[in-house]
Amino acid sequence: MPLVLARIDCRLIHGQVVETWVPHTSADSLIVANDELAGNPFLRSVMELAVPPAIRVHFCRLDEAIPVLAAADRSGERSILLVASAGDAVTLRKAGAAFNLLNIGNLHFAAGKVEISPSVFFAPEDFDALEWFRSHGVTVLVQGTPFETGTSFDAERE
Amino acid sequence: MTTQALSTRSRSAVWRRQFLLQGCWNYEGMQNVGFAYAILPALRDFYANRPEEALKAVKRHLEFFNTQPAMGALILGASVRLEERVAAAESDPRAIGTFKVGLMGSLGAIGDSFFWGALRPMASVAGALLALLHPLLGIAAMLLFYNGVHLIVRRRGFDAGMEGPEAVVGWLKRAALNVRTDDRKLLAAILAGAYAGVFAGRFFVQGGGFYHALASLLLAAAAVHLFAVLFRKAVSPSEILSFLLLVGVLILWR
Amino acid sequence: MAWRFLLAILLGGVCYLDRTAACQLMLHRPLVVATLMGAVFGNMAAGAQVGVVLELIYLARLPVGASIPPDDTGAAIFGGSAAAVASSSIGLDAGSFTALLLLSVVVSEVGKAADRFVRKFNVRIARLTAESVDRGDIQAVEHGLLAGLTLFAVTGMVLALLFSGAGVVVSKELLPRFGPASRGSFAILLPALPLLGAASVYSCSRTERTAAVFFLTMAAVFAGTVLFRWSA
Repeated sequence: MPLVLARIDCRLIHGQVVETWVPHTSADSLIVANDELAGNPFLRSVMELAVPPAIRVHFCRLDEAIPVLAAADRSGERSILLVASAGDAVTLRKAGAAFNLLNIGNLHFAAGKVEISPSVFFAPEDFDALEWFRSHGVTVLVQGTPFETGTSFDAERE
Repeated sequence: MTTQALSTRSRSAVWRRQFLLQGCWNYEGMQNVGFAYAILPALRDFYANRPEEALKAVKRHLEFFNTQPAMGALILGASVRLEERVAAAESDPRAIGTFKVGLMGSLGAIGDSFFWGALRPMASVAGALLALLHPLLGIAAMLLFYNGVHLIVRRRGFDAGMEGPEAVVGWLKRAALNVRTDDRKLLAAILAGAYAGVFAGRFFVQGGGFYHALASLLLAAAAVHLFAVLFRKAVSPSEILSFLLLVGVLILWR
Repeated sequence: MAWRFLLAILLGGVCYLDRTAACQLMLHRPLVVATLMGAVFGNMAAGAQVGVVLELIYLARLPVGASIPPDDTGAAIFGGSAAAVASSSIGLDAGSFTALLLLSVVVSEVGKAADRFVRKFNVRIARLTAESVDRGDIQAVEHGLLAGLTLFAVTGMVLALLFSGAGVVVSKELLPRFGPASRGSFAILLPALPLLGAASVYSCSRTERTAAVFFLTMAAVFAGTVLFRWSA
């Protein structure tokens, strides 16, 4: 089974993912592609405790993500891919990650960012990433939990 | 320069103030004001005669912060210890931000699953079932079931945090909240089954025979299954209720 | 009647504070709130009946992250006060009971919108707090928190007045317009509501063994209830 959800969330694994998206998509594995986390065993061990025992978690660096995704695919896992920023998502898509729908859950506020939804704020480079996705056949959906309506940025027709 | 130790009074002030972590919940910084408010008594102790540094410390804690409120106690306790080290110049102030940001998502997930996804449903159904016997019994049971665990997790989490950030992972592993989550969820499902059974039995029309009873049970079970499927497809309870309301109005119209 | 509303405002305000801003001791749960409101408006048992059903319905919606669930505290204020008032005028028959529970969905969405407004408004308070701290005023943190807390409390009290008022009006003005027969036709929807609540708990309890355990317990308890009734 391929990826059931690709999501940008600056908090990576947290309540919205574990309690709403995992049941909603019937996922059985989480793939977290994040350089900082892959290099920090302390944060990784805490994050592992956040995941129900029945769900598998893979942590990897961004450049390891493609083989990890392929391996999960081969073993028939229904995976959710999590990255922390729009830039990381672009990197993975360019490297060949197979998703045409990208969910944006949380991007925190910082000075100079523009509000897209109450929990998603875009910096200028995020708008660039959004344009890149739309022109490469990826629909971007800003939606915290499946219960929310969300804002959709459809892919441009070829 | 010597650093003041944390007074017992301030320690209990921090403990009390953590109950107001969400007192100024806002979309930009979420629990930021609440966190700064809670840790303030400790900062006042540590930076007693250094207003400049006290100011910097307060600003650190006005950065974005959000976690499940009961799990905030653990992060708060550990942050007090980290601030103590920073005040004594034993640690880099940036470590505090990294620590808080690194933990808040994971602890949020642990707390959301355990408290909102498991303990609260369990306490709710138990309370609702007992309320059928007597309302006050139901309320008392629900509050006890929930807060018995809730307050212990807050207390022990706070104490574990106060032992220092190194103790956090050990405590979380011993507390094994993710395993307990599954137990509570199973218990909640059993109680919810009983609740559904009681009401399905109550609405079963008197005087019908065995097959009538069987048919009502199957119908009720099918309804529960249908609702659960709708929930998984992200239809909200409000939408289902609105639909039923519409059906009711149409019946009246007829 | 005025003192009843005053009490409803005070108790409602406390329950609303417990919901987000302070403590989260479950004082904001529909079972507690509807029973309280029932007692305030003259019939605790009627309020509790509403609470028992409302308690479970919205559990599937978790307050995770920035996502706000429907306001079941408000729904319980409305339902509890309306049920108590109805029970002392037209009588709380199954049809009125169902109608009140279904109407509470409107209240829960209004309450959710109010909650969102408070959290948006608090952004300003948080910004002002940060600016004052920048200017060197540490105490601004305490004032900021107090301001946020006050806004939560005042909004809660306004909502409590609004929703209990709506409950009284619906039970005194709206329901009596329909005869007992047409109210009765609403009652056929009643069995769906507790089942909706059970499904709500069931759906947040999805572990591997859940389905079997849930339906077996349901069947056993159902059989027990029916047998008890037949033997009685």
